[in-house]
Amino acid sequence: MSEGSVDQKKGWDFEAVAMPFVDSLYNTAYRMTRNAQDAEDLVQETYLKAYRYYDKFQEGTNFKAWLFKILKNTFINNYRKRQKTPPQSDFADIEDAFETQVSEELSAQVKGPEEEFFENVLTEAARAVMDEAVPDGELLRQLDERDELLHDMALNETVKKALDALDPTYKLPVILADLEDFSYKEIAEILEVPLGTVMSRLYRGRKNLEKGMTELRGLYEDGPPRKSRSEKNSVDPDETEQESDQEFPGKAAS
Amino acid sequence: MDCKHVKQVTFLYVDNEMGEELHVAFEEHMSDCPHCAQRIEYTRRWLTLVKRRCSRVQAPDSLRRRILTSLRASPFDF
Repeated sequence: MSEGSVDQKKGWDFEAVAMPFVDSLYNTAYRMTRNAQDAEDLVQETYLKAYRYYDKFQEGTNFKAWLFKILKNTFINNYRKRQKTPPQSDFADIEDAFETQVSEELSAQVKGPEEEFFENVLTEAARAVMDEAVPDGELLRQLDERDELLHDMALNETVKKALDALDPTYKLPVILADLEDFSYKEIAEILEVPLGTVMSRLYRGRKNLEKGMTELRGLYEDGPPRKSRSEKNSVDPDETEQESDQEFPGKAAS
Repeated sequence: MDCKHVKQVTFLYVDNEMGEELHVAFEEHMSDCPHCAQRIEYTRRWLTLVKRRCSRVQAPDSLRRRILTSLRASPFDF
């Protein structure tokens, strides 16, 4: 079966070039689906499709971007099926619903771990004082350590939750640029949109991410001093100048 | 280039996606405007923070195995 051996060779070739990207694809899938099982299914489907269409891949072009394009199209198709929206709908249609859900989720979820943590700290501190088992200095050091750890954990959570909460139209460009280090040109290729659209989505996505983080934490504490209140709260002129970019690439290949 | 324009193209600058001509004008403005320079620094650090804090998840080994198994069982013709 000579045909079989050709297939086999192509199969090995595909595995060799495609499998190194599994972590990147999974990381992006996980951020988009917010669920390990869905992310695994999405990545597996992506690989099967990529394998199926491997002969359509043009040598010399960006293979990683090609894989991500398939991931994106698969995600959109699944997303639409799940939303049970008519085919002409897009993510932006549900943006409002998303945002409402987001602010509710954000305010509800962040308190949990933090309060629990403080509770533990206080309980232990109280116990230690009552037992007189821990010298004062040691107790303070433990509290400082816990405070640092708490701050660290809370900040990680803040970023993740704010990112998770972004509308998918804006979340994907942010993930691709800021977590996966794709260039604007590559992102344009993956999303199948013009460069200008990448820029405006990235702009909007990052601004929304920053806003989400601010809402969650009030501020982030690693950065330099914030701008004046009036500037921070003013409507960003760029927001109003955004091109009408409400559509997630609607013509995604099925 | 004025402050408003700088603000609009800040991401292009920090992402190293800015054309050369704009880049020159941008840096000229920055050297004269501490406020914009501070904003750039803020943006840069903020993006670093996002990347650092958003820890990556690794594909589980079971997924790798699943993919390889399904690829090898795949009957597609090339």
